[in-house]
Amino acid sequence: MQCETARFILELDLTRMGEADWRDLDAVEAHLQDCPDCQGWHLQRQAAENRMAQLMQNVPAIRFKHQNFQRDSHTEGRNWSRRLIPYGLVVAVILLIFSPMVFRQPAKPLDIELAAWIMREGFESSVDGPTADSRRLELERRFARIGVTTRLPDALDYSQLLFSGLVELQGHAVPQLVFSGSTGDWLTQVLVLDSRKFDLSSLPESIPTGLTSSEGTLLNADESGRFVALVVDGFRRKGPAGAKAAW
Amino acid sequence: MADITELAKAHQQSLFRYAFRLTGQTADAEDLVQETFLQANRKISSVKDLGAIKNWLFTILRNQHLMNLRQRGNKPLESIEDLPDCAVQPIRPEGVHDSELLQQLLMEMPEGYRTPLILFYLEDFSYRDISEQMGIPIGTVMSRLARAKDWIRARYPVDSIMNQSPIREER
Ligand SMILES: [Zn+2]
Repeated sequence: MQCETARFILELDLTRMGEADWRDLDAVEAHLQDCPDCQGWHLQRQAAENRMAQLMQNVPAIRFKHQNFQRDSHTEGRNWSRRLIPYGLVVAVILLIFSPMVFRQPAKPLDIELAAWIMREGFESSVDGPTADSRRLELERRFARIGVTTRLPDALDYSQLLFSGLVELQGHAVPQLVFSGSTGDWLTQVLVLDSRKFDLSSLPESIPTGLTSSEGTLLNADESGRFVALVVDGFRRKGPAGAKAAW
Repeated sequence: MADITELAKAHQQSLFRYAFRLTGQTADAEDLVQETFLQANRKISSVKDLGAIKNWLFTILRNQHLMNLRQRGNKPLESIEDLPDCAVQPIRPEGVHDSELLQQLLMEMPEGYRTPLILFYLEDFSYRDISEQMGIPIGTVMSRLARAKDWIRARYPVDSIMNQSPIREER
C-alpha cells in the first residue's frame, strides 16, 4: 500500500463508517508497521484529534436536573396555566407597584465555576462587528446572571472589550473586563468590586494588578453605591499578577 | 414505552453539551434541552426503535435550534466559502482558554458545517448517524467534515495546543 493511500484511508476515519471494509483497515495497519513516516504522522494526527474531542466536550455542567417533563406537557395542566396567566399578570403588576424590593432579593449564589463560565463565554460574532451598546448589554446580562446587579460605567468604550472573566482578588471572586487600548499592548482593566466585601477607602492603592501601572480610578458603577468599578490602565506586566485568574 | 424522566437522566448532559456548542450560551443551551425533552415527551409514544433514541433526541434538539435561529431572523451562512479568509491567527488574550477560542470559531462557521463537526467530536456518532440527524447524504457529511476540520485547523493550531499543559480549571 502507498503512503498516500494509507493516509487517505486514515483521514476517512473508517471506524465511523459503520460498514467499513475491515480488510482496508488491516492493510493500513500493516503499512503503519512498516512505515515510520506514516506511523509518526498517524500518531500526531490521533493526538490532535483526541485533543479536539477533549476540548469540544469541555463545557460547563448543566444546571437543572431531571425535571418532571410529563407534568409540563399535560394538556389539562397547560389549559389551567393559560387561565391563570391573566391573574398572574395582575399579581405581578401589584407587586411591581407596591413592593419593588421583592425583585431585589439576592439570587441564590451561583456555583463559582459556572459563574466563571458565564463571564468567560465568547461574544457572538456579528457581521457588522460589535457595537458598544451590544457588548455592554451582553455584559450587563452576564452580570445579572451571576447575581451582580449593577449598571456599568458610561465612561468605557465597550466596543473595545477584549474579554470578560472572573478573577480572584483578596479571596473574593471579582468580575474582570479587559479593553484594548489605543496602542499595542496598552490595556484597560476594570474590576467590579462589591463594597460589602472590599474596603473601598483603601482602594485603589491596595490593589495589585496584572498591569505595569497600578494607578487606578474608582468609578461609581451603581446608584446604590454597592458596586464600584476600579479602572486601571497600563501595559501588560510579565510575571505573576496580583489579581490572578483563578477559574 | 420509554420513560421521559429516565431519558432525561440518561441524555441531558450530552444533549446540553451539544446545545452549548451549537449556541455558545449556557442559558440558551439549557432552554434548548428543556424544549427538546418537552417535545420528546409529546412524541414518545410513536418511538418504535429504542436503540435509535439518542439519534432521535439529538435530531429534535437541532431542529428546535434551527427554528430558533429562523425566528430570530438569523440568515445562516450557506457555505464555508462565505467566511472571510483570515490570514492571521486569532489573538488569544491572557485568560481566554482553548475551549472558548474553539467556541468563538464554531460560532463563525456556517451551521451546516458546525453541526457535523460538533457531532463528530462530541459523541461517537457514525457518519450514518450524523447524516440521518441532519437529513443529508453520508458523502456530504464526510466532505463537510473534512472542510470544517481544515478550516478550524488553519485558525486553531492544534500542534500548539497539544504542547500546552492541560487546562486545569475546566472539567
Ligand atoms: Zn507510509
